[in-house]
Amino acid sequence: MHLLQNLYYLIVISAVTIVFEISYHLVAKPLLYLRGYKRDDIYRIKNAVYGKVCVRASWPVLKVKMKGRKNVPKGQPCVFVYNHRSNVDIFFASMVPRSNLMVFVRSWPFRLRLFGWSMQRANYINSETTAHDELVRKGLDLVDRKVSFVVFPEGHRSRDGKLRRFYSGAFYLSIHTGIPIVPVVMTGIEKFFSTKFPFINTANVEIELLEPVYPQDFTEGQPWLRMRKHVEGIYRKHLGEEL
Amino acid sequence: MSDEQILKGITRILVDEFEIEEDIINPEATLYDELELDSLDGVDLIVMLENEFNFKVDRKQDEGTIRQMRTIQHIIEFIKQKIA
Repeated sequence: MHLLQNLYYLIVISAVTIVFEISYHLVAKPLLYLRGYKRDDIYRIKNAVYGKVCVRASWPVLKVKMKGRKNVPKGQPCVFVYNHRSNVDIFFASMVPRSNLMVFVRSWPFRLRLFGWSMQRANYINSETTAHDELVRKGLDLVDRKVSFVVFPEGHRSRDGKLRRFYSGAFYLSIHTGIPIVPVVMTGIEKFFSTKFPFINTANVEIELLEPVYPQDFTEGQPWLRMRKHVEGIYRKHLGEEL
Repeated sequence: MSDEQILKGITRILVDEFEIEEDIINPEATLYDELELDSLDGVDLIVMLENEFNFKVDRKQDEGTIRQMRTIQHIIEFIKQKIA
């Protein structure tokens, strides 16, 4: 049963990828160029749409329920922060209601053959090598271009299901660019993918977008640290973990 | 101020502000590998140490030393030098 499910999933995702790549390069890419998008914008949009398509094509193995879309501030870029529980979380980064998404990625995914190349083309931010002043400079430019951000502030995925401590980069970016943080709580994803057989398992994933947190509410001292603690507290409360 | 007192102050900041587990904090602990701090944490930590131990970092003069700090013991030595 597991073998069949894995085989089915591999065939579906391969077919979706081939059809997506062909239609993207023949239709969407030229249209986006004509509409004046830059190359990195086009690759970010492509990656986001591909992520959404893959997640949706994974049904019925993977059932995804989205909640709280109304919490995303309209007409302005945001920093979407996700909890991190699985190797495939990056595909779910695209489930937020934005398509031009700059994702913070550690160094190793850039070395992956296909995905790494696509991430490089999209100019994703390497969270291990980008200094904080460079992050702000890039961030301000991207906010001007209406680009939103996706960050996994735990840095590494949690292996025991409990929230890890948060790093400050996402909050530093929010404070210095003035755009809000939207906490995204993802549950159930850890059951979906495993690095050992059976790799793919049926899972019900819930993605909930919580109310935005505005940087203007944090002003004292090193405000990004206060903001980080506040958002981490929201997650712990939501996930029922002790503060 | 003794090494133990400085270590106690550093530990308090790392536990309270960076949520690092107290039992892995010791003078030999490496900042980036064992304590898993990143570069922004490093900058924030320095600002907090300035307030905790009442000294001022000279950005030009101390930058090289700060960049070379790899363990808690390096931080202790740096603080001792600044408050001497």
